[in-house]
Amino acid sequence: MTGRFLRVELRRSAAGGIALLMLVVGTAMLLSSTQFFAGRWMQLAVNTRSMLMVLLPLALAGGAWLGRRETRHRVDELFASTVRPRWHRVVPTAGALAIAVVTAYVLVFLIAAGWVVPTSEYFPTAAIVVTSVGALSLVAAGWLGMAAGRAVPRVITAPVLAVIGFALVGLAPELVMTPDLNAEIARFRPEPSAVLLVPVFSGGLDDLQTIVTRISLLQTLWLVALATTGLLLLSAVGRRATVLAVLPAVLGAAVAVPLLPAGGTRGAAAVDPVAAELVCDAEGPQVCVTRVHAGLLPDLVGPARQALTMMAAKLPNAPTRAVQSQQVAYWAQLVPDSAPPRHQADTIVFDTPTIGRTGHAELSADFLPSLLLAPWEQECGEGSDLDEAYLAQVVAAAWLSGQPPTPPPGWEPVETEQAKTAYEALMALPEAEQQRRMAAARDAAMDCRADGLLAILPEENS
Amino acid sequence: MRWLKLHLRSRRVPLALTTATSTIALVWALSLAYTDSPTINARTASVTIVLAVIALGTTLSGADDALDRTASVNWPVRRAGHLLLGAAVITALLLLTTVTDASFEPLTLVLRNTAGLLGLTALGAALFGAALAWIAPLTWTLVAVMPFMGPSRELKMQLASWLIQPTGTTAATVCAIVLAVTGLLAYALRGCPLRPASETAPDQ
Repeated sequence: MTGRFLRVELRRSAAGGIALLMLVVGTAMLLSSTQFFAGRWMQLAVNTRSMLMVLLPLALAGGAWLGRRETRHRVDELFASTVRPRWHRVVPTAGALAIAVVTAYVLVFLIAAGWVVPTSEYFPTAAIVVTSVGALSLVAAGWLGMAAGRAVPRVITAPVLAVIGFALVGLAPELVMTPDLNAEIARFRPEPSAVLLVPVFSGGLDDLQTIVTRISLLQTLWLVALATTGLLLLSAVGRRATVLAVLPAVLGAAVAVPLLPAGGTRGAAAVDPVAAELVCDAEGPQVCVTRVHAGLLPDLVGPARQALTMMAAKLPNAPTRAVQSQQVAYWAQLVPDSAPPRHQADTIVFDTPTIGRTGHAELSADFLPSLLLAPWEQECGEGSDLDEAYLAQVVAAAWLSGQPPTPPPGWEPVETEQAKTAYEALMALPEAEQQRRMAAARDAAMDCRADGLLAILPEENS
Repeated sequence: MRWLKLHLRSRRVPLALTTATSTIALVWALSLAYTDSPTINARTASVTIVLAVIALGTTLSGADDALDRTASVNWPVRRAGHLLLGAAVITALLLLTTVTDASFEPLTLVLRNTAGLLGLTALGAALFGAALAWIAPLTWTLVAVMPFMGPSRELKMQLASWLIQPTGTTAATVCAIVLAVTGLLAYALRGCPLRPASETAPDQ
């Protein structure tokens, strides 16, 4: 019997329209910037979760519209006089809304997956978990919206609820994160753990990271509690039932909040060891990328080997393999790694190139020059970045390519001049001396001795 | 005068006006209390305007469409007047705040957003009825005020978030004017679609 009601509700209620609206808005927003997730399942899951910023308010508004239906058609008194318990009547409508919003969310994910499948070679199961939590949050929002629509049956309820929902999920996490301007140095405040009760991921995730399953389970617990509250409120008759209905949400929050980690998204993220594994191309000098970026390997092999060949031609003990950096981006680390592992001298490490809208690498004109800097780069940890060290690297790269240094964008004319002078001074030396100096500078850089690297600059600079 | 009063009452204008006024007053009071800036920013202003516009949007149809149409008055003029008066009322309410320490500014932004959103609401009312007219303006506003939307040189971005573009952005202005004019014409000439009698409970 319930099944038939459910089918009728799905066919004839506003649930279909709500799902269609959410599908169109969500897909349009997600596909407007495919470069953020193309080729990466976890990024797709997280980006779909950040679309909740619009989808959750729409689910709330849609629920409120549906919850107000009986008053709008002036049948609430008629229905209240039937002998069936209220929840018999409520469950098919609530079920139809839940099916509709979940379908819309999953369809948004699947449509956008068209930009992931062609270039992806790694599918983490956590992506499914993250997506399920997002779908569940829409159910909770829809049911809470229905309860609100029933309690205050006015046209303005739905839009007001949507705006309040937007403020809660879209703006509140930003507000608690804003830098404390009164502090001496503006720092991002550590996000409180309660931020993770909001299912929107506003912080973003590094490609090598994944959302810890334990956090997803805690979020599931809280959202199930919230959805239960919504459903109970919707079917509550009388004051006591209404008060009791709030209990699950309060309990859910009370259990989940102490167990959630501080730090919002960054606290919920961890390095995915499988995603960070190296995948190598060994036909020639070895070129390796992380598994999550395996799709980029064919694009990168060419320039990487070209750079290795240029190094082999000039540098004694030249590096023989190029490896993508396995470091998580600085902004994604909760506690910055002060002593990252150093790499071997026979290896150059390059950063992930920009990923384009179709999931292929967008190799800009400065990708090869950045590879030529790499032999003099080492992960030395905090406080090791000297401006002069970069200057020395630019000069060294210019020596490798045999052309005067081209100033990177944003350089002062003074620095450009320094680089030119240093390069000319270096080229004036006999070739054997040039090679000796560059090799010494490289040894120093690999050992994190900044002074040794600076030795290639003329006296007045260093 | 009595006809006007009856018309306004049949459209539940008092309730809508109360809602719009209290929304604007609430946002204004909150801004006064919690921010030091003399200008309410474009995002907050857009959200306030859309709520006020949606409140007035409920007055775009009467309790019984079929009954309305039997009255031999010049409906296109009356509907256009209703819409223009609504725009004037919302703008006036918003501009009242300019004499205080937290105001909806600048005037051009207030005018552009009110006109565009009211046009979009009227267009929705002409296509789907006044009861559903809030969906399009609300959705567009939510998309436009998302944290990663902002002033941009890209046309796509300028259109998607026309509500929060700085005044003087041609694409945003054109977008607002097109919405306003289309909405005004569609609603004035066509009015709301006839609803079945079973749905003619007053929308509050």
